[in-house]
Parts: sequence; C-alpha cells; structure tokens
Amino acid sequence: MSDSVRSTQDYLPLTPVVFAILLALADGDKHGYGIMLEARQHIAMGPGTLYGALDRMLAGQLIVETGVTDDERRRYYRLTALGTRVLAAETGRLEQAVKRARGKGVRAAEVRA
Amino acid sequence: MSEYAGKTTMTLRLYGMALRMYPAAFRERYAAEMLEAARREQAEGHAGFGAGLAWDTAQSLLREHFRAAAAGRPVYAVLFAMLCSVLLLGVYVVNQQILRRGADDQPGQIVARLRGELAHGADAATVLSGPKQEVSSTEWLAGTSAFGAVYDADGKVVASDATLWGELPQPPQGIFGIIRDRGWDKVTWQPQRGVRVALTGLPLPGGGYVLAGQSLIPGEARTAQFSTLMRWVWLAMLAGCVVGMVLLRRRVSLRG
Repeated sequence: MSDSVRSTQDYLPLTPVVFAILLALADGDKHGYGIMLEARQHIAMGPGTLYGALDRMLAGQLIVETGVTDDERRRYYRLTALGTRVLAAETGRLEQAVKRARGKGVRAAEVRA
Repeated sequence: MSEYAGKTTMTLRLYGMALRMYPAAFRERYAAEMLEAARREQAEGHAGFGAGLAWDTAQSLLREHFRAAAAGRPVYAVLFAMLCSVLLLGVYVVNQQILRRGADDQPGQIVARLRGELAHGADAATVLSGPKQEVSSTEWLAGTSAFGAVYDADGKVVASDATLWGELPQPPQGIFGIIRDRGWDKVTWQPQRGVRVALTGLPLPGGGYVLAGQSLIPGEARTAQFSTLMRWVWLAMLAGCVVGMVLLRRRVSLRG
C-alpha cells in the first residue's frame, strides 16, 4: 500500500506500545534504548517488544532511521510526517474518549503514567 | 568495545542465546541493539530485570515468528483452507460412519436374541410369527423397525417376520459363505434401487443362519442433510479466508 493512499485512520487505534514510542519521538530523534527508557514511563517494555514495534513502525513508515553509531549498537529513529499525523490523530481519539468518560462522571484514578 | 562488555552475566549470556532464536532477518537487523539495551538495563539495576527480560523475550519471539510466517499470508491462507477442508471431510466421514454403524445396532441385537432362543430349542416360525412387514414398502423404508429371518445350512430362508415383494427375504448366497467363514457379517443389501437394508448375520450352532435388517434410508437422509451443512460450512470457510486476506492486506498492521 503506498503512502499516498494511506490514511491516519488506517493506523488507529494504536497499541499502547506504538503510542508510547511515537510519543517518545515527538520531541526529537532518539536511539532504541532512549525510546525504551521514556516509553517505560507509560508502559512496560523490554527490548523484544521495543524492536519488534520499531520494525513494524519502520515498515508502516511512521518512523525512519536517521543514523547509527560507529559500533552499530545504536540506531537513531525519527517520526515521519505520517507518524506525526498518526500521533496527533490518536491523541485526539484518546482526548475524545477521556471527554466522554468525564461526561459520564468517570474520574481518573492514580496511575503510574 | 562497550563499557558494559565486562559485565556479561549468565542472564545476558542466555539472552544472547535466545536472540539467535529470532527470525533471521529480524535477528540480523536488531540483535546487537537488543543485547546492548539489555546490558544497559542490567547495568542500571532495574528491578526484576531477569524475569522481565525472559517474559518480554518469550512474547516477542512468538510475535516475530508469527509475523514472519504471516508475511506469506496467501500461502498460509491456502494451507489453512486445505487443513479446514481435510478436517471437514474427516468430520463428514466420521458422521457418515456413525450413522451407518448405528443402523447395525438393532439388527445386531435381534440376531443375538434369535440365535439365543433358537439355541434353546425354540421354533423359528414361532419366534418370528406375527404380522409380516413388507421391506419394500415406503413405511418400512422410512421407519426404524427391523426384521429378522432364519435360514437353513444352504442359505435358504426358513422363517421371517418380513417379506420382500410378498416373499420371505432371500439375500444373495455370498453372504452366508462370509458368515460361515468369519462367524458374522454386516453388509448393505440393495435388492433394488431405493431399497437399502443394513443386514447383520450370525451362524447358528447346528448349521443355518440368522439375519436381521433395518432400512438405511433414514440414516442416509440424515447423512445427506449433514453433507449439505458441511458444504455450506466449507463454502463459508473459503469465503472467510478470502475476505480475511483482503482485509488483512488493506489494514496497516502495527500489531504483533
């Protein structure tokens, strides 16, 4: 499927892992471990989960690789324009869900994130 | 060399071995980074590091292998359809056999009872007295009642509580030879088109034979209904495979 016919809706709803990774990259390029550290503020994530998700996101053109360290142990990743739109769309979707929940009197409980 | 290289522990060694179990393309692309991430994580002393890493690796291994397999989705869809077809065929055959063998139950009980009574000196004509059922009649063929018959050592009918076209039923001689050689026989007897009987036979101690039969038509009607149902299930399964393939190709998958 080419990028031109892809809609942000094709990606929604995002899994918590993908959302956490997109969010971690929202303020700039990061390497895998850096993404994992930040994403863990939202969700439990080990190397297998992280790199599996990164691989799918690369294939889905939500992120691109921007560089690799000399020893090839750290690759850096960046959001694509599509990735940024998908993150915004998911954020909007979650905001709507939160709004509906609040409209029904649901109040947030104390959580790790 | 990494600053963490000297801190390789048993956990990391095991993790390094586990990384070799990932699909080749994934392993070649990410194994070094994954090991490095695990090293750093351990060095930073995260609580529950080993258990968390093991759980994550187990889940991730399954996910990546499934994903690698799913890359050949059309092939897997075809294999899935073939497997389902074989299973459905198996279900059909088993059901058909159950129904067919079910038609042998009542005749089996009748021949055992008849042989017992005749062995104790009962007279065949007396044992099989009463109104005669006409085997070729629509009522008998559509029903579940069974008939019994006694034959002499030459296979000639002696007595029966049924008739076929007005005569006592006389199956082919070959069946008696099989009963004599094997000690029993269960066979489908079709004296004419549309008249199908499940026959069971036993030899008598003093020579001669007892046979009993039940119509196969009700069971075959149920088999035909089941066959129609199986055909619809099979077509629905094929349609499901095609629709599933189309939907999966259209949807962008970010899931494992």
